[in-house]
Amino acid sequence: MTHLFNNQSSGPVGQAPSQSPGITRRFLAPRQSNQGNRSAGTQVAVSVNGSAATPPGTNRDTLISVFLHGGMDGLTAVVPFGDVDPGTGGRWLDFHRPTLAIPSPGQPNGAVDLDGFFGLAPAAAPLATPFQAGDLAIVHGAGSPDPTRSHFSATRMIQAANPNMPGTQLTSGWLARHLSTIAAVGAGDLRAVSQDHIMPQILAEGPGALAIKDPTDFTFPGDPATAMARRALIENMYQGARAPMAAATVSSLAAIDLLATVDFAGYVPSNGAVYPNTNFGGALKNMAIMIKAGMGLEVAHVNFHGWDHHSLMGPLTGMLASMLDDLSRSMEALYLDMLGDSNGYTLVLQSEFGRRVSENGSAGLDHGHGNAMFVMGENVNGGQVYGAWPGLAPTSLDSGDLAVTTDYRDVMAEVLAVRLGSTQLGTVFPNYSPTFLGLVN
Amino acid sequence: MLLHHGSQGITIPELNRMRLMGRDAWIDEQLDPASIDDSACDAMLQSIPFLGMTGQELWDNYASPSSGLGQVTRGLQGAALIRSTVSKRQLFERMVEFWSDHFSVYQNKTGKQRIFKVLGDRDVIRAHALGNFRDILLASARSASMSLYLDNYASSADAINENYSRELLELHTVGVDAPYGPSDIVDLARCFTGWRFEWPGSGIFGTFRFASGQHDNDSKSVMGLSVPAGGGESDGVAAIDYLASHPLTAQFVSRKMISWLLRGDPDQAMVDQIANVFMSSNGDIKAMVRAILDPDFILAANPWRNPKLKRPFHLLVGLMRQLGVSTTETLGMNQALEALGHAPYDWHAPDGYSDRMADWGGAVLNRWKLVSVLLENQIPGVTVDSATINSLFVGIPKDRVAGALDLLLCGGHMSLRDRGLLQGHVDSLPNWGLQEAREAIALAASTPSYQVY
Repeated sequence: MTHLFNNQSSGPVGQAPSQSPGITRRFLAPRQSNQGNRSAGTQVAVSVNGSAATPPGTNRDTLISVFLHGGMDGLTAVVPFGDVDPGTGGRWLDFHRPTLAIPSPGQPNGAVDLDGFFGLAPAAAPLATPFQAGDLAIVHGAGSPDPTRSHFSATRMIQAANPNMPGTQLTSGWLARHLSTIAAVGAGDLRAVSQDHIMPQILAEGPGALAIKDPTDFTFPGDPATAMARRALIENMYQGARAPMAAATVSSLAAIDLLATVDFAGYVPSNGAVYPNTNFGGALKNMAIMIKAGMGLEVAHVNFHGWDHHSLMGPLTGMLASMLDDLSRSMEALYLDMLGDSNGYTLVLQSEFGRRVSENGSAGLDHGHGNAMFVMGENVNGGQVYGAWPGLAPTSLDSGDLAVTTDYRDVMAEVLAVRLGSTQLGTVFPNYSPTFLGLVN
Repeated sequence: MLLHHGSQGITIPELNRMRLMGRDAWIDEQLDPASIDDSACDAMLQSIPFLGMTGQELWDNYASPSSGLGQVTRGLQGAALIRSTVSKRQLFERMVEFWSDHFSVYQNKTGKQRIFKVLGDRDVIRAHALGNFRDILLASARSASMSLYLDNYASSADAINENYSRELLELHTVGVDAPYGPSDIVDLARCFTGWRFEWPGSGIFGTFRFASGQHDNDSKSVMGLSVPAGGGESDGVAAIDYLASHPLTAQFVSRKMISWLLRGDPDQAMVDQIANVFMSSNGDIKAMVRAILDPDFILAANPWRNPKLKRPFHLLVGLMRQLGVSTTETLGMNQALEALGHAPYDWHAPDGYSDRMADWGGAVLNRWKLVSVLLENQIPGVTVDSATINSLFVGIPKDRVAGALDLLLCGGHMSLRDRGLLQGHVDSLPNWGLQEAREAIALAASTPSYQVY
């Protein structure tokens, strides 16, 4: 696969984005529309042990981790319109989904063509901006090797990174183990923030990891005149408190001070980026602010709930469409906002599973398996859809679902090793030898 | 210890009452909630006029304009807050909260869901919270609330929807580790095809309706249960009966109920003991609660060593109980809980709010904030007035403040370390007045001791 800028260093290319309200489109070559990059044999296999470029400590990216809870329908978000039944010439998607399939590019309500085979749902069109700039990669047919179609089991196993090993009790999350096995970038008291009320499994037991739903309002309560004494008392009382309260107290008090130095209210996004006024848009905006503040944040996680569309899914104008619109406009805004910034980031997005290939009788989709993952950032070898496409022919499906041809750990491990400096993938992803796809440089 | 686990927050009057009547009599009384005069609570609930309405009445009165449905949502959340704070049927309210999570329904899924949740809360959860497991399971299966939430209303013979069936197995009965596969899920869903609810035009909106034309009348097989062809509506009832008496359901529900009432992660012998009660009593919830709160069982569980974290709802309601504060203007309380991610019926997924310390325990600042804004009268609708503060410290010299707060908030179970540090802080204050007292209460409610029970 040709990529024009695969030797670039980090940072902006071409004219400085800060001088232009627009962006520099870096990926200009028309892409091949054959199946070449979708066969397993052409995946770029990079040795895991040692040869990956590891940025020095202070240049490590912040990982932005997005988890879509409920099972996002990757066949709507990233439409395989080119997958046709050779017998009839009709799209497999229409065979399986008489009412829910997104039309092909060029048709009314058609997908936004990415490469002649895949397209974005119209509601996800803003993702074409980073994709066409070569900074968004999609991995299709990705997921967990564990066959469960349970939301809760799938989420737990993916975030603990322990699929198919029910006998092994791993209570920590894989991002937590990453933090445990690498030196902190900053002081270490606040290394990871999940913008949620409760700690997600993915960061469970992580050093310096906190769940902070609203980082713009993270202040010590009560009368400022007495705050110092009360704070000292609480700090003292929580030494030796039960896990996770003791460590969370240390991190919280540090976070109060760190976040007090950040101007959230007066923030103006770069490059004319406009975040949607939504929970998710606000969360990504807060992440950009915290990353740019250079406070040593190594991981920023956010959960986006509500993707479990068993009925009245609405891929074009309904519920799913509005959520995809929120998701993709927020990601586009983050992309533009961070473009050219010296504080590097890489975003990875996944869901616990995809949805059933065939629609049910209630204009929705039941639980499925394989799904699309997104990887975004300026060091991403984007503009491509990665993975061996499993196919939608009925004989290619896994119990009626899109098969998983890329283990999600391959994606995560590569980003950790290449962009976050991890040399401890064996601890982060025990009992697994990842294969890198060449997603990031 | 019993009152810590059997109520939404200990109070000194209730502790004294229990000591006088004896723990056995207290449990007998609490397990017979109808015998308890709850007129004070009932009077406060008059502020929420729709709690007794039928689905049709709710629709006719609140669906148009649709802003009325927001009133319904907030009103039902308010009812939960009022009941937990002031009801004398405290153990009942504890179990209502348990089943509200076990059969979790996200109230804001749609406008109709907001109405149905009112019906489900009353006719499923509260009607059976201390009843029989089979009855609450069947009531849930037939309810418009669960049917709409998990899409069973849209499932039909030629196009099944698996959503309810999967969660019925995984979350409501046998648990995800039980030996079932995709065909069990499909066949179980087929048992419930045609289980629907009436629409507004019927005049009986939200009542159960069996649509025989949508039902799959072929035979089914669910985890060893053979359902012969032609059973119609009885297919679903047979599935409920089978699952409600399954030994794995006994295990799953018992483990969860011990975890709720006593301690997380109970060991297998404890689970087996309660599961035996479940099986021998045919799912009698009262018998299970009684067995879990038995003194010997509590001793074996040793919750002192394995305490649970109060969830935000519990933290707020419990502190208000201890301060003797209540309100019918619950909007501010609800918003305060929203800021901590724990407003009633607001969890999206069907697994209900987590009850694990690992999940909630990291958000310590939010907890310190919650108790602080309560004591500073910054929660709209809730007033902790000066007379209340004064009354708590009548006859208490400054050098005994921490001990008094330990008694008031923790029933005397505050750790020596927390109590000593708190007293040291009070000792260091140049003044001891109302404002200092408010801060001291907030600090006592911010101790590690107070977060657990």
